[in-house]
Amino acid sequence: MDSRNIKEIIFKIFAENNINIDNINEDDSLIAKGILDSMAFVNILLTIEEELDIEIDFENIDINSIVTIKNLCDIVSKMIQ
Amino acid sequence: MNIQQYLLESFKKYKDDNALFTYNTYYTYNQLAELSYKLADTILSIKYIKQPVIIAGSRSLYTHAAICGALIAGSYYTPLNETFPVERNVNIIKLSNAKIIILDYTDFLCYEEVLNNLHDYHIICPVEQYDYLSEKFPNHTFYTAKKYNNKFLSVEKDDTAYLLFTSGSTGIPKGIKISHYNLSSYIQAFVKRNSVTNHDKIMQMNDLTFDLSIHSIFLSFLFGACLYVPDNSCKINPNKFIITNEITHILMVPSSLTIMRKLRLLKSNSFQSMKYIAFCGEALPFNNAVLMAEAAPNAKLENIYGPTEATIACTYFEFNKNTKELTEYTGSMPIGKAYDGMEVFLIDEDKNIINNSVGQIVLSGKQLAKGYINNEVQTKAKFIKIDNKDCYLTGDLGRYVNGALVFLGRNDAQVQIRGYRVEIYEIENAISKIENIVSNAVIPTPVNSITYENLTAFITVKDDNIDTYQIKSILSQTLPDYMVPNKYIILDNMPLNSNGKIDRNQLKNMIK
Repeated sequence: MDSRNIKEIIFKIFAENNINIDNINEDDSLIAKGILDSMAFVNILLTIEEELDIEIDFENIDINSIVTIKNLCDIVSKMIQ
Repeated sequence: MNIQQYLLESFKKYKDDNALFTYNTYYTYNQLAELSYKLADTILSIKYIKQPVIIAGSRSLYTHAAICGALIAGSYYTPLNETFPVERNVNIIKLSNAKIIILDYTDFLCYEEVLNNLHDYHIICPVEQYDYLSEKFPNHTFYTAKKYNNKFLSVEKDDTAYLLFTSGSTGIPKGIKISHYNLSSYIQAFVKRNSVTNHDKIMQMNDLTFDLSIHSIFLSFLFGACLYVPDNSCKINPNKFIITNEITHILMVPSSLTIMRKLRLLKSNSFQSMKYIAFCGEALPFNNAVLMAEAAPNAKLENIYGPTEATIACTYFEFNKNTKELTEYTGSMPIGKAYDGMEVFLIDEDKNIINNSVGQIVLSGKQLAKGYINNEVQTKAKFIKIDNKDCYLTGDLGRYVNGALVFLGRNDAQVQIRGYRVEIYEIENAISKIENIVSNAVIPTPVNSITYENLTAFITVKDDNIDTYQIKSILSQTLPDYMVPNKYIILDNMPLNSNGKIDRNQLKNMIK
């Protein structure tokens, strides 16, 4: 799976949760921008884990650093490779 | 004693200790004190009276010094919230009758729209923002914090310390003034049970407009502890912040705990540094609470309860990992008994005091506000005399179980379904016990009618291995028919309001 596919899957998960991220800058914090709240973001992360069959190491990954689309895609891509 | 004196003494005593950690920088008590004195002096040079001061900021040193400065001047503060709609912030400013605003625009992102909606205010701002602001907003007068050598107005015990607004059912926020006497009674009762020292590190999880913030701010600044203010995104998962900074004290809403559990972070012994953990703001799920007790083996844990009208919190229940869950707790941790100086009791619908059944929780004592500043009707309805004592009717239901008060939800959560009296909370508890269900909320339908026919349950689930058929049949095993919701809506996310509680109005709108 290349990183473009991963991005597509992540975008699809946001869309399925009725969260529109089409016009968001990839470096914007989704929470600071008011796109979704913290509980919703956590649920998105859990869905991504499930769909891609990965387990994000929340103990060691600073969750605050993956709250942008770019960083979220990067970290997921790294985990898959 | 009042908070003004306490603050002045603490500033003298702790000098070089750290007072504040925010935006990745430490500030000492000397730094906090110096800026607070200048801000107090500047407030008094604008008008030499006791007066409301608006705080337009969220996390900076300037904002925290503004809170202290207002109290040291003998005035009181009302915070805004950068995440509120502009209209609500403007409304709060107008309702407060304040003429002075302390603004740090780097710390309050919607300042432009707020200032454009106001005229002729006195605005105190950081030196480096002065030129820009005074040119951009010629309709206001700007000041920087300076020394003028005004004598601080000394505070009497009934003087207001802060004015907060809570949502009113009519849409106009209700203003609640908390006095120095109220707040120092809270602090004294708290430190009688729990210790805070100048070696402690207290994490600030809540917005300034939520009174849980006042607990953390003043327990830090009055006892020489360091207040740690994370940025907003850190509130998703305080895990790393707690561990990296070796936080000792925290007050969180139970929803934060739910998030930590979802992220698999409530592991045994993971929070070694924690000495005190409190939960407040909504019902605390018993099983999550016990997981936290195991995660923080050195901490004393309390579930505390109380409305803004009675100063932050006024009942407490201490628990640990061995606390036994009783069925009468209906899935949540008890809220226990009254703080020192407060009384809590239950009344029936005719306002008779009762002991042995479910009743409305009533509060009385030193922490009670006098009423709403702008709502006589609500003041008369909620602040009443019972047995010749000044009391506040919380609208919350409770019941004593083995001497401990158990919170059973809002009074208005009690509804008639097809003629039967139903506690919504009881149904929600039953649903929460089903495996695989993460959170839920039950709304009686049709929404906004007086007589209800059915119930709709909103739920979020861990995985999709459960269907609504199954949920319904499990509930039928424990609940009478009329209490089993007929409709189930599985949500990806439960909508929350700005205080982190489930937003029932949003849910109602989904049904409409």
